[in-house]
Amino acid sequence: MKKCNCFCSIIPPDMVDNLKKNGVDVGKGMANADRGFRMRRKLKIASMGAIQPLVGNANRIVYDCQHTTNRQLALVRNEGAAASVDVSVNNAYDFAGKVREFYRTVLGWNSIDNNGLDIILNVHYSKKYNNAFWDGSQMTFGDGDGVIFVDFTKSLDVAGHEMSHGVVQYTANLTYSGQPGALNEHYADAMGIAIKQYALGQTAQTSDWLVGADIMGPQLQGMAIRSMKAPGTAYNHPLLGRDPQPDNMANLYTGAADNRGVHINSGIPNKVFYLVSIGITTVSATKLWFETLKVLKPMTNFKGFKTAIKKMAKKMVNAGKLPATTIGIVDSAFATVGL
Amino acid sequence: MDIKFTRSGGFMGGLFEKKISQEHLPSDLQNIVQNLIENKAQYKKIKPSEQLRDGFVYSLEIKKLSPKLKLTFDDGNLPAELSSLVNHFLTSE
Repeated sequence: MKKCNCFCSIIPPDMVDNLKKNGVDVGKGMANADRGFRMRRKLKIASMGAIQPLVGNANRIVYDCQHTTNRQLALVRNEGAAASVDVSVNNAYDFAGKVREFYRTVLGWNSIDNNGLDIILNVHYSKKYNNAFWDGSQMTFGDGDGVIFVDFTKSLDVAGHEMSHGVVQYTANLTYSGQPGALNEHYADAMGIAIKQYALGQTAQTSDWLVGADIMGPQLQGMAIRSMKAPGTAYNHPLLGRDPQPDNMANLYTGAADNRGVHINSGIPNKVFYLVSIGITTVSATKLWFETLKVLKPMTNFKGFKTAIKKMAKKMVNAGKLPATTIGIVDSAFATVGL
Repeated sequence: MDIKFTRSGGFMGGLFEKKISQEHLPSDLQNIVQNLIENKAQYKKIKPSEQLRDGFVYSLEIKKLSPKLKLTFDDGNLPAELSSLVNHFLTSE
């Protein structure tokens, strides 16, 4: 097992059992594959106009957990309602709006499920909770402990990241373990940073390519949770340890922690996305990535991902949707990370 | 009786571990642990949240029971009555 330099340095064997328990077995993978196939078939049929599915309004609904672990506890803001006096409520509402707008305008995707699913947001979860997560149907944000992290609703790329986990669930449904899990995390990071750049009017050249820079605590200013431009360099501090992300297949994490490295090995495809964005613009790279996401399978690994991106790049270049240089830039980017 | 607490996962993907003796817990939390032991069959039935992404996974291991008791929860299924116990492990010195 390789050394993990995040919060811990030792991962006991019983933890390995625990992580395995939270992984996905072969049977579950098959069920996910079947689900993905059925979902894609449904989308195809719907796009052909054969049926008229019920379409939701993609309303934003914000709940206050009131520092408990009870989600959807107190409704505090609904779509179209006036701003709250609570900054976290407004952040969650506003950023979800920006994420929804990006998916609709740039990618032609209606909310999380492409069917106008309501966007449920929970704020003030638990006490000093240093995290944000997607649970299959809603997003939840903690306030941070004020030391390592501050309010997780402060970051547009975090909001984009979490909502994109929902989008991944309704498209490729990438299994949350090993390389498919790292691709799941990668897609959430890539979409999150693309949404931030779009909203702020940044380009691939002017972006800092940092994920979570807005939620770092007072002693960690200038650092971030991940760097897509230079994986492994986002932080190095006694409070956090050192960023463990690799930027090349030669340093692929093969241990059991973190669902077999979903947040660690995402550094490799993150670097590819950065390099392709520099070459063809972030918006074009995002379109290529998103069209590819629709054809990935739940168990797709990094090599399969590379094959799928290259195939989609050729298709989109031939259709005039991407510049002809895309294919060479994609090849070069994957080669840079050892793929 | 030692209780080992582990938290893994999260947006950052880190790991947190702490071990505390049951007798060093505040009395209300000792009662929660006792209830956990008495109702272990019910807690063991709780299934992992299949679509949880970036959520924390919590594990509580009570060592001196025979057989050893280990229960795993996550942010999608953590019983409300256990949140104060989890917070104690995360915030106590």
